Amino acid sequence: MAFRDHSSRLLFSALLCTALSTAAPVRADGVSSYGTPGLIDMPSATTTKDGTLNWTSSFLNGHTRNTLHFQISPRLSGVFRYSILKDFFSGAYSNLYDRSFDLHYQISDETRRLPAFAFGLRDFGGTGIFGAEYIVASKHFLGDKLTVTGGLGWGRLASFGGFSNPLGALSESFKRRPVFTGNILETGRVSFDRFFRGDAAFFGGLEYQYNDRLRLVMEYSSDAYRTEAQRMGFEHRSPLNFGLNYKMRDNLTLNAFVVGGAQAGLGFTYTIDPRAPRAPGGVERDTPVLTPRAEIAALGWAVEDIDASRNRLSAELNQNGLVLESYAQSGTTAQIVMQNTRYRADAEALGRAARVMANTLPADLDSFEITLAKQGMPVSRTTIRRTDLHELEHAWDGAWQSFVRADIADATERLRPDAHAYPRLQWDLLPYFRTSLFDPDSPVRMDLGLAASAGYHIAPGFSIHAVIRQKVVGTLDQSTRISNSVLPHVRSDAPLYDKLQGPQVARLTADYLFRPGNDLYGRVSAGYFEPMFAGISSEVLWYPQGSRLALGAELNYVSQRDPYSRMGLTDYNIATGHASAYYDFGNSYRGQLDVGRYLAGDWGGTLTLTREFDNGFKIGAFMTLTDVSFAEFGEGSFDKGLMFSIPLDWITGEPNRTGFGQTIRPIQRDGGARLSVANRLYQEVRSSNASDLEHQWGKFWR
Amino acid sequence: MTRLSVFCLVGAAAVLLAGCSSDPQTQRLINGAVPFVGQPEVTANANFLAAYEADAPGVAVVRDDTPDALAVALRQTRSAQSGVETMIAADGTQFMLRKGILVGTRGLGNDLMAAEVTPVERLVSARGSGVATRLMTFIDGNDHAVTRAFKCDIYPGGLEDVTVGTTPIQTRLMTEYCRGPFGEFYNYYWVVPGSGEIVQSNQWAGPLTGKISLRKVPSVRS
Repeated sequence: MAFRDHSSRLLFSALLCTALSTAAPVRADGVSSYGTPGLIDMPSATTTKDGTLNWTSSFLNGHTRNTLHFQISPRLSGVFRYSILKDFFSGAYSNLYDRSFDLHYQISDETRRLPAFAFGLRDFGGTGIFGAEYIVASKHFLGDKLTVTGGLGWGRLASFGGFSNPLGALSESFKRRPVFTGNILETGRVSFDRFFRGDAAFFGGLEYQYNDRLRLVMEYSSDAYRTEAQRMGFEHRSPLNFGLNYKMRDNLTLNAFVVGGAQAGLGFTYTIDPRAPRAPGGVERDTPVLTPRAEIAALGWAVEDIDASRNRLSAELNQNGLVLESYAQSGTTAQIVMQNTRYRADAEALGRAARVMANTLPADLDSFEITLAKQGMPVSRTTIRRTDLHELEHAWDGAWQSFVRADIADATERLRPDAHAYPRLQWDLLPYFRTSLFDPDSPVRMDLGLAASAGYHIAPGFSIHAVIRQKVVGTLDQSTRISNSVLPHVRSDAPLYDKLQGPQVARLTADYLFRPGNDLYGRVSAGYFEPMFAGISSEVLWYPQGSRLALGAELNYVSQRDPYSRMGLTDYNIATGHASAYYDFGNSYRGQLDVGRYLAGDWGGTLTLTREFDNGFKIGAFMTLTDVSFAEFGEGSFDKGLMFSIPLDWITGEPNRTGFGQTIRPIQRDGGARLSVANRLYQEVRSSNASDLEHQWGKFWR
Repeated sequence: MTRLSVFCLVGAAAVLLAGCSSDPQTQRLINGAVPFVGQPEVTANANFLAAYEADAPGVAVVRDDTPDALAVALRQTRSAQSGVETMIAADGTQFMLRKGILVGTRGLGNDLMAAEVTPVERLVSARGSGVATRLMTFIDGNDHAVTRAFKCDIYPGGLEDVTVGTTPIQTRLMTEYCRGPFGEFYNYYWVVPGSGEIVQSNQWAGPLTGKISLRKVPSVRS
C-alpha cells in the first residue's frame, strides 16, 4: 500500500513538473519604478528569476531613477540605485544625486490558500530620501493572470494615509521615526534606528496580464511624494497610480505610468540572465575530432623520434591557442607542460590538448600527462588515457565519465622547458576605457585611449610586465573636486593622477611565481603595481587541488606615486598586507574574507560575497570595516561597493580569456583601501585547480 | 559640427583602428570589430578541403529556420569505437551522425554534445514500429553538459521517392515522435528498404537550433 501511495505521488509530481515546464503561462509579475518586484511605486511579494539582473530606468518630471536589481538567491534580492532629482536644492548645485541600496526578501512562497509574503528595506543606508520598509503579501488568481497585492509600509511608504504604528504595541520606541539630520557624514550607514518606526500605512494594488506582452497595473499608493511636492513642484491629487507595461522583447519591457493623478512617467526594464548568453556553451566551429587509432598506427610514427612528435604536437597545439612548453616521454606515457592562452575554461584547454595529442603522437603511447602552467608555474597535472578518449568521445555522458576517469593531481614540479620555449614575448595594443562615477558635477566621466601591454617571460615563473596607457579623449582630468579627507590621501587624490598629460605607466613589474611545496603557491613582485602605488609585494597561498577552501597571506611595502611625475614617488610609505580566506560555498556562491592593514594604515577586514556562474559571469558585493571611525572616513561612512565582470566569450561565443568588469563604489574614500596587484595568486591559479576544472568540465569536449 | 567634436570622432576611430596583438585570436577579434577594414578573404576550412580532396561522402544540410542557407558537409572522420561520422561544412560547423541519425553538432551554440540513440536506430533501420528512449546531452548557457531523456514512438509510413543527385531512390518514410522536457518533436527518416540506409531526414537538433534537414549527396567532385 505504502509503495503504491509513494508511486502515485511520484507520478503526480512528475505530471506537475511537466505541466509547469511546458505550459508556463506568463505571470502578472512586474518590476516597479524602483526596479524591484512590484507594481508602479509599491512593492509586491514576488521575485524575479534566480540569478538574473534587471536594469530599470524611470523618468518622472525631473525625477530619474536608475536601478540595478540582482536576484541574489531565489528569495533574496538586492538593489543599487542612482537617482537624480532636478532642482531639489536652491542654489548653484540644485540637483540631488542620490545613491541608495535596497533589500527584498520573500519570506514564504504562495500556496493554494495563502499568498506569498515578503518584506523589504528601501534605501537602508544613504541619505534616506527613499527610506522605507514594508511587509507585503501577493496572490495570483485567474490562472496567474491577475496578481493582488496588499501591504503595510513605514517611512516614505507611510507618507500618505499613515496611522499610528501597530508595532507601537510592542514598544513605545516604534512610534517615533528619527529624521535624517542632513549631515552628509551620516550617509552610508545602515539606519537600524529607523527601521519599521514611525507611522505605518496600507498600500495595495492589482496587476493584470492582458496578453503575453501587455500588463495593466493599478495601485493605491501610500507615498505622498511629500518632499518632491515641497521642493520640486510635484502634485499629489490622488493616491491611485496607473501603469502600462509592454514587453517588447524577452528581455526588454517598456513602462508608462501616471503617479499622484498628475505626473506622467516613462521607463524601461532590461533583463540579463547570466546563464543565457546568445550562444550557450559557445559557438566554436571546427573542434578537434579524434582520428581512429588504427589510422594513426598506419602512419608509422616512431616512439623514439621524440623531436618529430614534439614538432607535430607543438604546431597543432598552437593552432588551438595552446603553448607547448615541455614535451617528454616516460615509457608509454607522453608528458607535456602547456600554457592556455585562449580558453576561459582550462577544462576545454585540457580536452583539446588531449585530443590533439591523440591525433599527433605515435599510437604506442597510451597515456597523456598534461601539466597546466600559469606564467610557467605548474599548477595541476591531469592524466588521461588514450583509450578513454576514444571510448567516450561520442558517449552521451562523455563529459562526466571523462572527468571521472581523468586523474587530476597537484603539480609542484615541472619538466624543464624545451629549447625555444623561453624567453617569450606577448604583447597587445588595445583600446581601453576608464570611468569615474557619481561625481555630482558630472555623474559619468570617462577616458578612452590606447593601452600597450607586454609580458616578457624570461623563465618558468619569472616575467616582466608593462602596461602603458595614452588617453585619446576623455573627461577624467576635468574633475575639480579636491579631497577633504583627513586620512592620508591614498585613493581620494585619484583625479590628480588623471591630470598628468602624456603616456602613463599603469604597471611595470617584475614577478616571480613559484611552488614552495605541496598545495602551496608563492609570489614575489616588485615595481609599479598600479597608477597610485609602487613597491614590493609578496604572497603565499595554500590551495589543495579540489578544495573548497584556500588560505593566503600577503605582505607589501609600498610608496605612493607622485601624481605630478611619470615615475616619481612621494614620501608616503606604508607596510600593508592581509590574511585572506577564500571559500566556494557551492551552487555558484563564493566568499572571501581579507583581514589586515590597508593603505592608509588602518586595520580591519573586507568581506566579499559573489555569485559566480560556471560560464565566468560574476557579480558581487563587498564591504570593508576598519578602525577608521565613520566620521574620519567622511561621506559614505565606510568603503563598500558592487562589482561585476562579464567574460568576452559570453558575448561573442568565441573562446577568449579576457572580459570586462567594473567595480561600482558609491564613493571612493581613503579608509579600507587595498593595494591593487594584477596577479594575486588565488585568481591566477584557480582556473587550473581541480575544483574549477570540475565546475567547467562540460567544456572538455568543445 | 564643431572642430572639437570632429577631432574627438577622428580620435575615437584612431583608437579602434589601432588595436593589434601578438595573439592571433585577439587579432581576429579586433579585425572583426573594426568597420570598413578589409576582412581576410573567407577560405574554406582546412579539414573541409581535406575531405573534399579525399572525395569523402557528404550530406546537404539546411536548418529549418534558415531554409535558404544550404550547406554541404563532408565526412571528416569516422570513429572506430562508436561508428559516429563527423561531417564538416566549409565554415567549420560539424554534424555528428550515427548511421544517419544526428548525435552531435559543433558550431551552432547550445550544441548537442552527444546522444544515445541505439534503440531508435534499431527500429528505424528495421522499418518497425515501437517505443524507444533517446538521451540527448546539450551544453547549456552555464557551460554544463545536461542530458535530457525522451520517450519516442516510432512507426512506418508510406513509400516515397527521394532524389539523390539525379537518381530517384525508393524509400520508406519513418516517423519518430518524441516527448520530453523541452516539449515534443517529430523526426522523419527516409529509409532505403533493402539496406536500412537513411538517405534523407529531418531531425530536431536542440532547443536553440531547432530542426535540420539532411540529405545524402553524390560525390561533390564529380
